[in-house]
Amino acid sequence: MPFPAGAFAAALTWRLLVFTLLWWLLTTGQQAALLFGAPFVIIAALLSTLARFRARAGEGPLQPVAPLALLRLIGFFLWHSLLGGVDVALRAFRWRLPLSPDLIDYPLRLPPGPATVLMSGLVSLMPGTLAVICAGRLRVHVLDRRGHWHQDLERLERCVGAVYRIPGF
Amino acid sequence: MLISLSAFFLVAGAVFFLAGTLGLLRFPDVYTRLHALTKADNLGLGLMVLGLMLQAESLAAAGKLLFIWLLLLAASATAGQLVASWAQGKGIAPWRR
Repeated sequence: MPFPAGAFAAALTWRLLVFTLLWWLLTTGQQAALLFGAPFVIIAALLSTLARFRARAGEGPLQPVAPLALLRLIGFFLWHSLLGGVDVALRAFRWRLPLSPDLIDYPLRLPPGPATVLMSGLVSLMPGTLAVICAGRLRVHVLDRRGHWHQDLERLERCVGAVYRIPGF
Repeated sequence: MLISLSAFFLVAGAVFFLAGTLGLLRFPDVYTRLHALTKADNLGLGLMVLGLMLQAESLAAAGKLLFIWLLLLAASATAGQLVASWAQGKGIAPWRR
């Protein structure tokens, strides 16, 4: 496969913009700090783009992230992390701790790679689930084995798969 | 009006921090305690950040607060998973009712 120069330039430009914005936020918009930050912004953007395009054994080429699906994932995540916080807080305040925890193995449909890493990170912030190991399968600790965690995990997996434009999601 | 809305978010955030700490002390094992820390504290900080953003002096200051929350989300999800997989590697069985 030839080197995708156009996609590389697009990814680099996108990262330059985002990292400049981050530096501007970190320095709360001070002009003098811009000169100091510029080389680091450029180096970070280059390294990040190179890491993205490095050929990985056994993995197909990475598609650019789908923006609409990403927005849906953010909305889904914000709502469920609110539910998750309320859920665990209610359990902590109850006199007779309402817990019936269990370890379960969730069969992942996502291929190994960034999608799986994102999925396992988000699982820990969803209501009642905590990612334990993530290598081919996802081992999840659930707070309430009778809860509807399986349905939530499936919905999360569909959202993550759509963000990375993985066929079948 | 803005100040009272901000105060509401700050107090609500503090309640979730309290819940997270209570969970850390009361829950029976390492896995359940991680649940309390990752979820309740993230939500608590999110609400506090929201409350502080309403009082921020500039757009950059508000954005910085939001960025801090995003960094903490990533850090606590990763740290939670590392502690849980360490416990699993040590063969610590989850507490069961």
